[in-house]
Amino acid sequence: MSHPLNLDAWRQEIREFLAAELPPEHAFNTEFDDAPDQWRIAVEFSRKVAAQGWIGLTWPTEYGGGGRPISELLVLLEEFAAADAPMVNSVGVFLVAGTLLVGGTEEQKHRLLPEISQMTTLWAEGLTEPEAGSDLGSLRTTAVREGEGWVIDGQKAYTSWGPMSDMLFVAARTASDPSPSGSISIFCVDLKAEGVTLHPMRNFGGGIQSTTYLDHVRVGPEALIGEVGKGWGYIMKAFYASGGVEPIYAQQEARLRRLVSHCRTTRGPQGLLIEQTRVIDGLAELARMVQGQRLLAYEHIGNTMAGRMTPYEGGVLPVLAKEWEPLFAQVFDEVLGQSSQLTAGTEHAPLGGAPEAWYRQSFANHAGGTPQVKRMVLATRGLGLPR
Amino acid sequence: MTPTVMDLPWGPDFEAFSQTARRMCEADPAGAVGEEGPRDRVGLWQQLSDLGWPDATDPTGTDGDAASLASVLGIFVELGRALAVTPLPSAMSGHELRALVGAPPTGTQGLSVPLLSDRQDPHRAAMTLSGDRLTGTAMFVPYADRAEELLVESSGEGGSRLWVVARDNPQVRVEPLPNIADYPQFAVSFTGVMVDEADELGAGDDVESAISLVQQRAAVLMAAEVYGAGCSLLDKTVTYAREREQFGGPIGRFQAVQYLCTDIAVNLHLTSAFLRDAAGLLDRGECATGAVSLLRMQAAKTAQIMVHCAHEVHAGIGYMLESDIHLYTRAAKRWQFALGAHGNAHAVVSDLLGPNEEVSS
Repeated sequence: MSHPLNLDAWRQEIREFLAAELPPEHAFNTEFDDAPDQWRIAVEFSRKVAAQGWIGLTWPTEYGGGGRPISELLVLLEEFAAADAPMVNSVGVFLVAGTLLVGGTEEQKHRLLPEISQMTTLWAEGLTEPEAGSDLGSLRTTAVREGEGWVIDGQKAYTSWGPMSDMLFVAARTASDPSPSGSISIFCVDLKAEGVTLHPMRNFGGGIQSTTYLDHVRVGPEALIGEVGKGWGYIMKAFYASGGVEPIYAQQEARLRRLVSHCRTTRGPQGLLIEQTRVIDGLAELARMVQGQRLLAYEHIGNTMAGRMTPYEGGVLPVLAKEWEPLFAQVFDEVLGQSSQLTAGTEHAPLGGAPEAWYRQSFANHAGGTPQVKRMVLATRGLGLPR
Repeated sequence: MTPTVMDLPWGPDFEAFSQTARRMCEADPAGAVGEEGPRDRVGLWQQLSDLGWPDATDPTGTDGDAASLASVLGIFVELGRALAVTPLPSAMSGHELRALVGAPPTGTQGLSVPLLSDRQDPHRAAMTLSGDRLTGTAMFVPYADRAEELLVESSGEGGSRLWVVARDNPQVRVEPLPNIADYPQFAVSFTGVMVDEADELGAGDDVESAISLVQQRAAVLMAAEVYGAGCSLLDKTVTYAREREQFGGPIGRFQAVQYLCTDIAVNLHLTSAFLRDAAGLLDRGECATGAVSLLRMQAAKTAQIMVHCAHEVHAGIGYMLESDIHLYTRAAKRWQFALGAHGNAHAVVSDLLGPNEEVSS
């Protein structure tokens, strides 16, 4: 499929880097495979990317960033997604860095951003709580002043990569006001600090997410990011400040191309799969999902760079990206047929059994906000329907 | 240097075309739609002709300059928004086809209606040439009754050939096809229509590629109508969801209703993206087979989804003829089949996922 972003030389540079630094057997997604040996490979690879200066590609140069346009970041993310490049520290690179750029003090930006861009500090996320998922604003973790510092108490849920990370990005209530807009603050918490306990849980996709207990955890004044009570605004803006779009479609396209190759070379009871009407229809439907997301992503990036508003306040792409993750896997499996249920370990499993894992992993689409929340945002902000 | 980003622009004259078309549609609403469906807007068509728009995209036309497809989409979005039924799409295709095969242009008033087999639908047969006679039936030909001439594709002897045939030829029968949209569609039957050298506009690969291109461009224009109609229908549906109160407040506060409204918005935005992408490729002279096929798939799907969701939100009143929701539903049925075709999927797979772009597994 076409790549209408006119960034061919940059794309080629990334591909050459991947060809040199990422052997095929090292390609995997750290979200779903974080076994110790794999994690070491991922950290080593991520530090090579950092050495290229590509982690803070779009950040201002004074904070160790590259000062490059977000269109280049999108191309980088597309190529990494298509190659299953095992990147670590997405929480640090996007959520933490985005928050620091929006609300961090100058001292924090100069101290923390280079640690992220050099991959020397790995971050885990402490936003979601057992009783505060989609309704994140109702979170109950508290931070109370003690001397110049703070004491944090609470419980966080679904902490990805907790055992392998150095720091936890914690949202805590610093005022009793039920409205989140003035009562939530953001703290940096050392995961080895006294009072921090992780209880890992395995997820359906193959990774680990922990329940994190914060029991009277003491942090210094420097742990507060920006100003007290402004955390909600920071995290709402953080994703956009760090660069925009997660190109899931690029990973889907790579999978689709593997599926097309499989269908062109595999025979079923009725002949080559590619000759069957249901297969052709399924492949075209998958292509529609891929290219639809790509076009909306490019439109969004183009609009952002030109200072224009995307239709419906940009609310459509987040809905599609979320809803089409499991739908893509479903249609993919319909094309493959019954053997899509087979796991790696039997020669009868198509594509080495990967589709079985991809199907399980497609249910991780709630991370960062459920599809239902994205729909509500589109309905209320994009269409102006009542809350 | 700041890189160029393909951000799916509408054409440079999109707004100008759009505003003019909107003014004309708004000035001519009376009697435009009836209870049985959209009515042919004779007055509007006359104005469109007077502006020279039937050959606006034809470089050999009266303006001597061709507007980009991405610009004239502005006309068709507005015609769709107003559910305005005019011969403009047929007229534009006729002018484009004549220009592409090197035939002399006709004026903007005379209507040349193409009578072609859809490349995406192999079941729609072209006319067959046997000796010097054309025989066959073409279905769903818009405005065949109004045409002065028919631009007819034939298969058979000599492969693909293009002929011009007078509509009033005694061996040509034009039969109305009453339909849900009350749209002027006809079955056109040729029973041994005699043709000679002077009637032939072209043959072979040139004709084949010209027809493919004209059909792709026509599909883009039709998809723009779907998009325009959908924008109008979404406005009506969201307005109704805000104003209609049940259970002590507006129904638009319920997620079930919000989902229906957002389904329209999601599919419209996708249609718009595929639309601008395909038009841009065609304007740049690049291969657009896969992009147009994706657009056809999406627009056909959008046509169905938008009316389904609008009916669900409007419920009882949407079923009443005094509400105009049914007018969109009528139009959508035609778009669903004119754009949706099994060949779309084949074209997507072969053009976008072809062997040259495969990766090894």
